[in-house]
Amino acid sequence: MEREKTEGAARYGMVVDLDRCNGCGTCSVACAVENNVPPAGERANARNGISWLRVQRVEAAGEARAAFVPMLCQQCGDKTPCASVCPQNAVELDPGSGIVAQVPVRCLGCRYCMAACPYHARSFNWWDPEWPGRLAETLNPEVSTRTRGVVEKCSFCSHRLQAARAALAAAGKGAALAAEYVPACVEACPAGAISFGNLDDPGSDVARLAQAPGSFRLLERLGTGSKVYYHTEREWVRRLADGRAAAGDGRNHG
Amino acid sequence: MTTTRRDLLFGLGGGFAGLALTPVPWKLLDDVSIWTQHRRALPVPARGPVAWKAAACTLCPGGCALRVRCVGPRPVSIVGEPRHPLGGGACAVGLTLHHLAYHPLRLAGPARRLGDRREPVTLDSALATISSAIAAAGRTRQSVMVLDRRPGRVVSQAWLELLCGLPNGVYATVPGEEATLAAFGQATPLGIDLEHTRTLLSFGAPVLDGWGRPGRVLGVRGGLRVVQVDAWRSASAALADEWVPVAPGSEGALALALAQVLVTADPARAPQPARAALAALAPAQLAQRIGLEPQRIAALAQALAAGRPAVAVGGGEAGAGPLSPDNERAIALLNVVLGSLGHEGGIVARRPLPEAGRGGTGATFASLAEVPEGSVRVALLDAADDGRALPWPLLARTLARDALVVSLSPFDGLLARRASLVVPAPAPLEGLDEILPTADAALASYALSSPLLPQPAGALDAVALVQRLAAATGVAVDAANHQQRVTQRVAAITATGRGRLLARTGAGYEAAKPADADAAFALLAQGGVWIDAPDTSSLDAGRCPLPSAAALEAWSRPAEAVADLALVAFAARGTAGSTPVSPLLTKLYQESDLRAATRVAAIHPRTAGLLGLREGQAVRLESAAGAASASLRFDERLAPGRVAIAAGPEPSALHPEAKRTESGALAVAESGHDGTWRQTRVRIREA
Repeated sequence: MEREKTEGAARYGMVVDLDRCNGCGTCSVACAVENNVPPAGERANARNGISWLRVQRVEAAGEARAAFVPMLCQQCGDKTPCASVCPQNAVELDPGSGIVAQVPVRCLGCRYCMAACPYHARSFNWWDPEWPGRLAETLNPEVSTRTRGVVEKCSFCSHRLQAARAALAAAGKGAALAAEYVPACVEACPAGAISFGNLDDPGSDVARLAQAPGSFRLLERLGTGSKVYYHTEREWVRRLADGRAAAGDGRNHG
Repeated sequence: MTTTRRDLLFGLGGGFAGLALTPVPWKLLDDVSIWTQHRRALPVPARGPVAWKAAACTLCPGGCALRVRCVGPRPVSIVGEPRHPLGGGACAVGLTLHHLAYHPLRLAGPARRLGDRREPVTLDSALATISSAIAAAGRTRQSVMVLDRRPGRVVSQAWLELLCGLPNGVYATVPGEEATLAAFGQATPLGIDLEHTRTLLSFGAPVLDGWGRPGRVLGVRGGLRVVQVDAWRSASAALADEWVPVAPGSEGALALALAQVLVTADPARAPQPARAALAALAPAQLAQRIGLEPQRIAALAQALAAGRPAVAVGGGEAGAGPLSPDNERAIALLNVVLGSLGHEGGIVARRPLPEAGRGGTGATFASLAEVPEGSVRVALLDAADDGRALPWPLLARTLARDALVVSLSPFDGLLARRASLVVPAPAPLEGLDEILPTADAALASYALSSPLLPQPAGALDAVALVQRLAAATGVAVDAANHQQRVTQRVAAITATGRGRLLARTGAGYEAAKPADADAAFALLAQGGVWIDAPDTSSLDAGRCPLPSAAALEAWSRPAEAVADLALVAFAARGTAGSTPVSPLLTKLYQESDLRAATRVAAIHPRTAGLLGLREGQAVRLESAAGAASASLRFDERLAPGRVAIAAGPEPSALHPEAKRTESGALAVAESGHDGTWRQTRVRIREA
């Protein structure tokens, strides 16, 4: 079902340059700091931990350089699989920004959305969040903390969009377009590998990069209309993107 | 009309059916999600006015400039300064710098160790203990040693003033990324003209994973061909244009083999003593020791010659520790052969940073490995951290039987736990600190990290500690406090009239001309930076470092077959020092495969098969130095006969509440006489 667009709406999206990404993990940590994602408990691992943005290292036999792929919610378009299965309306596609938001207080913890997400970009809170020592004093007041039993995921730091809109409105510049808005991962990337902006603005860097040769979306054949693009000049990395090619030995350490 | 039981049932049934058509069930469903959530268990962050403040990361020598977002008095997030003229951005460890003052391992005040526990003591009592031990050292002619992991600061000067007033002061350091450049033995500091370098040959240095000023390396990466020589597929090897896997400890042998190929083709590339030394080496035996085919070595040498300007760097890996001086001299010799010394795109002179204060020459300057065994009565471990590993046996070797070890670290880290006494210094973002030029810097620079948080009552600034100790031991030191000393140094820098002072503005950085030293200090405290002018003096081209005869002879012999596995230690910079990392780094070390934790040991499947071990199995690593627990992971890119394990971050930093167990490379690292732990042999068995 095509949704109606709000007048003056944006469609925020991201292009990750995999040839620039050096796998430092700064985006992942910046995301956790910004969104009050708690540290892992002792029993947590890559499968049951909470990561809104996780960097995957992939290698292929015969290729000198590994590729690092930041994996986050791909912010699907109108056919968002997670939204369509949620019995609680806890997943909302904002027509004004194109952001797929998760509303944790509505979440029942059924995890249908996790099963539906083809990108494994959602995390379930298996344990009550804990910040050791006095670390809770460093939490970001712009983002509420989540409890055990709910699902959470990347929101493109939508609270920053709200703040940018509010600041623009307060300055009398209108609230529709927030040019100052960037998610925490984009801001933190020391390699400048992540571009962000309005995909519907043909003059924006992100719109140009998304259409550039070498740009692709993960599992594009599923038609999810995701708004996270990746870019690389390396053919073997692009082949991995549709999920059919094998990832070489795919092993990593360190 | 009478109401029958059937009417009642119809009514109830109809009522329930009708209810299903109302919003009530949906509201109930909604509420179930709320009832099942434990919202009272969640912390509610306090709100307040938001302000962005300038700071700098002090967790490693990189000194990345930061912008800290504060809500009220509390820092809540950090970003690397993107437009910094020396290279922008910050790493994942730096982005959690603000967590450290709140870390569970934070020490609140002075304490002494009693067995496995720690007992709080007063500052006066702690100072009396140290003074008494210093006096005892004077009587017994034993040494008072200060270990400084970040030399060159005004705090370092203060330590030198104290040590120079003592009859037996030793100022010790541990070689870092600067070791290759120091091996040239030039009178002036050296740097690398990376902006014009075409090929960077790294002998185990993590050049693409936190080396030098990381933002600078990222900035030049596009035009730089990186060749990584590493015993395993490290993060830098995975990002390099070419990875050259070698046997652990054979870095110097490969440097000599490459130099030999180049000098054989063109003898004029090296002065006579080096030519003779290289001619005496047998290429086949060198190749066998390195673990590479001679053809690959020849091809690599030709690529280096074709890709000039080329620079070779070594050491500096945070977990693997320094290369031996002989290895570093071999790498320096290769640089001479490549013609990179004193040329554009190569290794260039950098002016020394102006000092302030008296300093002194009465103390003995030494690398920690050079300090005589059992000679130290008092070891004072400065709080400054370089983010690199330091195995306890390397330090313990120098200690006398009744030595007093005093840690100034603000954290209950690896070395602090071994110390007899702790006198915690301010944590990061609590005290003033200096940012000095990195090892790779071609230009001298100077910046400051200003305190954003108040320091706790129990913390004592290192300069204040020096002054208290000096008063107690009768040594005359400068009375200026830390900030006054920094201001004096800023005055000395501006007095040179060299370089430019850039003030941080909303749009970036602008040249500024402060009226006096106080104004210059204020600009630097607000995120400004001073950058020196280029040094145009020429280097002493006649100096050609040579490895020792013993090393040349050893590299010429075939490698001995040994049954035990060779330890390959590694760590990301900033994660293996005495400062713990934030528990939030579990996102990288536990909840993803991006970084390997100290509890994971990697070996080749064939090696595991020979030992009868399977993937995921709990194992115990044992060496002459100790033992560590780990779970086994197979890695086909690691050569057989090796085991790779991280030296940090220590598990108690990530999980302070968990039971402490020995894990990681530092638990098994054997310190050699040359101050390295790269020759450690490990046995591995089922736990």
